[in-house]
Amino acid sequence: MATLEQQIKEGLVETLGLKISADKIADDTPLFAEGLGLDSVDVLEIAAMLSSRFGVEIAADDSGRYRAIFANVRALANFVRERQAAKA
Amino acid sequence: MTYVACTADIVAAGAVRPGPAPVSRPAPSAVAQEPWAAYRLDAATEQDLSLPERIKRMGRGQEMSILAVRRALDACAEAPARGGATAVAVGTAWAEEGDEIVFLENLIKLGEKAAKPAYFVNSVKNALASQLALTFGFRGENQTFAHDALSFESALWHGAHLLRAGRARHAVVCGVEALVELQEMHGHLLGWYGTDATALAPLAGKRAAGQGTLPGEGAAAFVLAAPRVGPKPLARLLGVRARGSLRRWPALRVSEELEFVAQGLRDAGTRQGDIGLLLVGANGEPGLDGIYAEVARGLRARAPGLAVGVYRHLTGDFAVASALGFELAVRAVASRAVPAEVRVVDGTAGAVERVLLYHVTNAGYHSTTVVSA
Amino acid sequence: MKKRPRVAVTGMGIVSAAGWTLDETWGSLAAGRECLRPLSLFESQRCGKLPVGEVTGDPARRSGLAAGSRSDHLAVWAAGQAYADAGLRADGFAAERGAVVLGALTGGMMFTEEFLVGLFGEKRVDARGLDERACCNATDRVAERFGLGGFRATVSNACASGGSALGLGGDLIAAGEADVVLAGGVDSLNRVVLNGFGSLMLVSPDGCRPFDAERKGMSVGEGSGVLVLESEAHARARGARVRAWLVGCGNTCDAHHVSAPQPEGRGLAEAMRIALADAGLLPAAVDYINAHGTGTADNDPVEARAIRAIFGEMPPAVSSTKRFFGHTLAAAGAIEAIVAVLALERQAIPPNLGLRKVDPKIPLAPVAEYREAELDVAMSTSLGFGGNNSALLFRRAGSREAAT
Repeated sequence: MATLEQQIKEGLVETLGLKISADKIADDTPLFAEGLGLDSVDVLEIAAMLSSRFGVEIAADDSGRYRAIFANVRALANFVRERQAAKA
Repeated sequence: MTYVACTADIVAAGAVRPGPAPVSRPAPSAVAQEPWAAYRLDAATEQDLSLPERIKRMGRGQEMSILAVRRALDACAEAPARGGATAVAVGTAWAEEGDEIVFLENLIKLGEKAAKPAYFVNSVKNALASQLALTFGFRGENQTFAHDALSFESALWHGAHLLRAGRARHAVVCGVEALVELQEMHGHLLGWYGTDATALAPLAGKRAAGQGTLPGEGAAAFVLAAPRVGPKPLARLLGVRARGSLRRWPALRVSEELEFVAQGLRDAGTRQGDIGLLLVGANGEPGLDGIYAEVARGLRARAPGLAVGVYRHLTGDFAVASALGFELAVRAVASRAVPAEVRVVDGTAGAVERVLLYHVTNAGYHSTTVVSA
Repeated sequence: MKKRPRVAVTGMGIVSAAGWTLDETWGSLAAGRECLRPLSLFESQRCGKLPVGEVTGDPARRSGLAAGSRSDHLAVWAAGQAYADAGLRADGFAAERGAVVLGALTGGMMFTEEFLVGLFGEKRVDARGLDERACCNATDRVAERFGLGGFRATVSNACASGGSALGLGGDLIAAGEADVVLAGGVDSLNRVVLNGFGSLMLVSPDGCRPFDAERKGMSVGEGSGVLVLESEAHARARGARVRAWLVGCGNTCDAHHVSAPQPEGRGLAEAMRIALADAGLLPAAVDYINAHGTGTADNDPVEARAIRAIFGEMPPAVSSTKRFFGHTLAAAGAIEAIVAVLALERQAIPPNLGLRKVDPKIPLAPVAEYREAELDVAMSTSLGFGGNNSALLFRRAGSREAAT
């Protein structure tokens, strides 16, 4: 089975319609600016994707951590693991 | 107050044209069993749409308008400055309606929780003009005109007006329409479009009655500057006049159209005898072709040598196809010759100094534009 | 930049959740009346309980149009009031010299939705409604109803559309392109807009509170505002009553982000600066600003920063009237321009309804209660997705400066 990081990359490509394949995204590729060039609207698309695919909700009180949570795929995966562990 | 003609220098132009022939594709089964046809961008142009450095998805209209503007800027001797001195005016009847449909499709099929915010942002019609501003750093007046076949001409008027009023040093004017399946369904269900993938033959009387026209897509962008600023321009805009009807789906009258054209020439300070080429938006639909033919005949009665040209055999029919016609007119006066994309159906065009564009639609929108060397 | 010839405002018409007429609207504003209420126009799981600025009653009956979208009805109604208010008559000007410029975004989007529900659901399609989906239909129907055969445009600059349309209307007068312009904006509630703003997490669950410390977002609304604009000479020649002068307008683009404003409000500040230069006025001449003030986390502080950048430590009186109308999108700039003109006429500042305690991060002190004030010049600002900004300046008709 694909790693969580792999699944997130595929989720990003499909949800956002990125013009690269998932394997071209490194775990530490920045999602914003010089990395994938995503913006705050994409953050919401990603949040919806995490919710539907991994059952993880990003709450309003996470808003102070957006920049850290959405920094790159590794950070997103760690966030998903953290939330899934908290639920278990 | 007296009327002041709307003039500007056109310093560069760029176009994104559909492939030269209509392409046949299967139609959605709910609408038609037979395949249908449309003029679409060819594979090479599709490739050009996608910038290698850009990973994020954009709407098709955004990509087309960026490519058209990039081509125009590449042709500029002196590119318009980033910042507030450059204005943007976009004419587009439907903008990113394709993204609006995706947004709705998600709502309908998956429920309201599945709403996709990026598609909502793109469904707002200024998504093209603001993306041009974002991409090229143009922070001046930014205006989107979304009014069917008046859209491009209004944007052109506005760009020229801003220069004249001293509110911009350059105006980037773009007409753009990306073909959306919903629009194809609409046209087919109402019987506007034919299904046959043979090229349109405007003013040739070749398409059988009821066979209709074919849809298309494309973009054209122009860099306008106030008269006498910078190097010698490619062409000069002498006037643009676009009007709508006072009745829904009016019965078009040739005499009224001739008077409309005469007024457009007067506004542009041009005599009919100065026109070297009349370029019309005839689209192969027999009823409308008939009006165009009568108007051309009426104008030729006064100026027997007048050459009449068509261009929609290579673009198909869409609300701002006139932007592609305008690009051909600019090229014609810049090179003093009729471009290969224009089919001259009447008369002989010599060294073209001035072009009159004339457009009319069944919904009663009509426009005249005069371009000069 | 040249000073713009002033343009006469000779008529106005308005419809929103706050009323069907100018008097009803001002009555709601002066009384601080709550006009938002739960959505009733269509079923919605996400938005069913949200307070929205929904127009009550039957727009189709009011407009008298046999067909058309909700937007068409609202626009024709507002335009009809403006036309009558200006005392215009069909024989008073040549059809060719009458123009219409409306800001519009969503048009008849409900018809698109209906078609798609049929297509995806029962695989049954009916294309007739699709004719009614275009946002330019409202503009056409206004032109048809009132015999305006001149320049015609539908401006779609996101939530700055209404302001941009008025600016363009002023341009048409200044350029001698028209003698009479009906200019304004219209939008109506639909599922795309409610879910769109909802998906961007911009909608407040309990009604917008512009500039408030506890604001949770915007409220969506609908309506139309239309103004009659004329050249001074034309208005005087026909003996029209001038309600106010449109003296300046600015339109800029941030070129910063697809939906969020530039954090320092630079684009909006530039639009205000252009409007002032256009009018030949110093910032100190402005007495009241009707702010865009949507109540979202981003908009309100950005707008406050832009106002402070232009007006300094002592900005003019400011209020946002979004809590009365909801955010009426393409109509907002026009509806709020009308509020600004009414404020000049009635010499009173409409309150920033919903404000309890100003956000300490917002360097403004909006007017929370209705109060009378001497007002000579009023500004109305709008911001939209894509970084589109608009600023309009109006001057009181009886102003001593304006009379010269």
